[in-house]
Amino acid sequence: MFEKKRLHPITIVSSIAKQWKDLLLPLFMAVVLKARDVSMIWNIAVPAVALFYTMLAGFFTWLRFTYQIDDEELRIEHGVFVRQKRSIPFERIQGISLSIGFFQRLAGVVQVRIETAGNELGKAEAVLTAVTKEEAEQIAQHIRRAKEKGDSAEALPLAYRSTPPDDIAFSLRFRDVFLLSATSGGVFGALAAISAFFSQLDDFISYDVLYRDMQGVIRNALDGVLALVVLFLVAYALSVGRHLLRYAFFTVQNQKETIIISRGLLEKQLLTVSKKRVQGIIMKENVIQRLLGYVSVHIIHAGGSLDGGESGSIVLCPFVKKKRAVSVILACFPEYCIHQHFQPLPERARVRYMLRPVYVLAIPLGAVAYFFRPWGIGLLLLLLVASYLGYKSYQMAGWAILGEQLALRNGLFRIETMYTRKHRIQSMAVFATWFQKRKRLRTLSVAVMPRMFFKVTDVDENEAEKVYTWMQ
Amino acid sequence: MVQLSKRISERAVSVWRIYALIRLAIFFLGYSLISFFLWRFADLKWLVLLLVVLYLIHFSLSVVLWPRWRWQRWRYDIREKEMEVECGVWTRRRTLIPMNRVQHVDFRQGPLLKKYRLASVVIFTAATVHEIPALDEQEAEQLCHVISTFAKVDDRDV
Repeated sequence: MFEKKRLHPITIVSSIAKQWKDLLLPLFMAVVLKARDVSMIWNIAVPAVALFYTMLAGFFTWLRFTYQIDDEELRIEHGVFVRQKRSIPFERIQGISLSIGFFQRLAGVVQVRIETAGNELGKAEAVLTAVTKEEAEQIAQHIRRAKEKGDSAEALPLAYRSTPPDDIAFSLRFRDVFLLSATSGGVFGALAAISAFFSQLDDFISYDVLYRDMQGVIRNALDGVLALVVLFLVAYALSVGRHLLRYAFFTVQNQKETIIISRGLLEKQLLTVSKKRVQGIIMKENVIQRLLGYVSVHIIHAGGSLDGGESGSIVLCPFVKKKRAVSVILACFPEYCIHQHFQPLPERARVRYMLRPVYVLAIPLGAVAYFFRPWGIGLLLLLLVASYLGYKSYQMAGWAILGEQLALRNGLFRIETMYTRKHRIQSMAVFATWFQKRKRLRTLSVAVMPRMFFKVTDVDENEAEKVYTWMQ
Repeated sequence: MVQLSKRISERAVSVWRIYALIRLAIFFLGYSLISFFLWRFADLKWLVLLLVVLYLIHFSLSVVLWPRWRWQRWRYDIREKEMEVECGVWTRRRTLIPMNRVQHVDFRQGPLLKKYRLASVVIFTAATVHEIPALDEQEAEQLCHVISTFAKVDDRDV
């Protein structure tokens, strides 16, 4: 039980595959772009060496990576040339996430990510790429036992076994994935990706010829519209696909001390988050989602990014009706009160909110309008739209204190509402530029995590002071 | 809000002036390079004159006035439960850090600060870093000690 073990050899394959995936585009570029003057060195030797090197590296990395599970800690040794040893006491492990990717499924193993309460948030993570299910279970049991022995009776159950589904707090409906893809702006992302791809291929496809052919095809405006619709449909399909991969079978299980989130279509992921480490809750809604009454809910988690997203933020509900979101949060985190009674900003902040997006856009839009006279002038109407958005943003922004809880809300395209509790706030700042001071306004800023600041701009001077003294 | 009571050492002004001088010496290279090209190749003498005026304004602001203003506005306060820091010339910023969020304190002293018998104290929480610059050496040491005795991070709250 105490012997040093290596990961399942599938690790070699998966790491090589990963490196090849990263190498594919640069190699493709290097080989094909230079195709005009074919040379043995460039077209065959370079890729061959690169591929061979990654294979060697993959093999030796696997060979030199050992782990050891004893009663108290998990010991990891790794490094091909420089050996690194790390021991992680089980009682210090704060979160564990299991995922089964393509390669893991092939070999019947799981990937374990472990997160500890290190000072360097997001860094003290260990990843065991491929271990057997039994071992994963064993690690989880050790963690549980260590926790029980310690003063806190916190258990970190591993929901890897098919737990009775009576504790499911949230699950994403299948049709919501389609709605989510349609409203999340992912379509525009996909459009951008498609156009980027085609611009990359600029050298291979002679667009002039294509354009001439297209002119034959697109005889009238109707065809043009049709082409656009097709493009949008493709982008939408891509976006749906991406969201399906990520959020299919998304379920949240609510247990006494932990939240268990499982999701994924091809790559199954399962993460266990200790409730004690949740620093706050964010609700995000963009313009379209707002009209439909949907939000997405994220939890701010002190620790590395267990779900591979941005550090410190874990998706609790990717897409959910607002009312339902409130009950989900209440079920999982009863200490939070999700309400909508926000203290609005003073009226003198309105002009500032309406002008701020205009300042940013005025120069670029003005320049474009100037160069594309006379029709470009129409672009200046966008300034009005921006100003209207600013007005909406002014209406939405605000703050609220409820007992020990502070809520801040802001946003332009996407309204974000953050709920946190007093003892989670690491520092609070009130500041004012010279212009703000003249209007007796302040900006309120709260830090709950590294690089995660929540701000509300243009709060009334006295009210900002009220929040500040609440903190004292 | 009540003004905070403690201030940093007045010698900070001298140190900041030296820093500004060093920065401006580098800027001087840039200014003179641009001026030279404008004079020699573009014959835009009025632009060169403008640059000279700009440099003088830059100089008087960043070397003469700014360090003084900055020092005047720097205040802090340490209490048993929390500490407060207030600074900024253009943007006034007042920050509150609860003592039980403080994770550790650093005492920092570069060669220039050492020469002036000054030191900085840097305070780390789980999320943010705060610096009180240019305190008197002994005061800084004392401050480090005081903060570390007050600061007892509650395990639950990280």
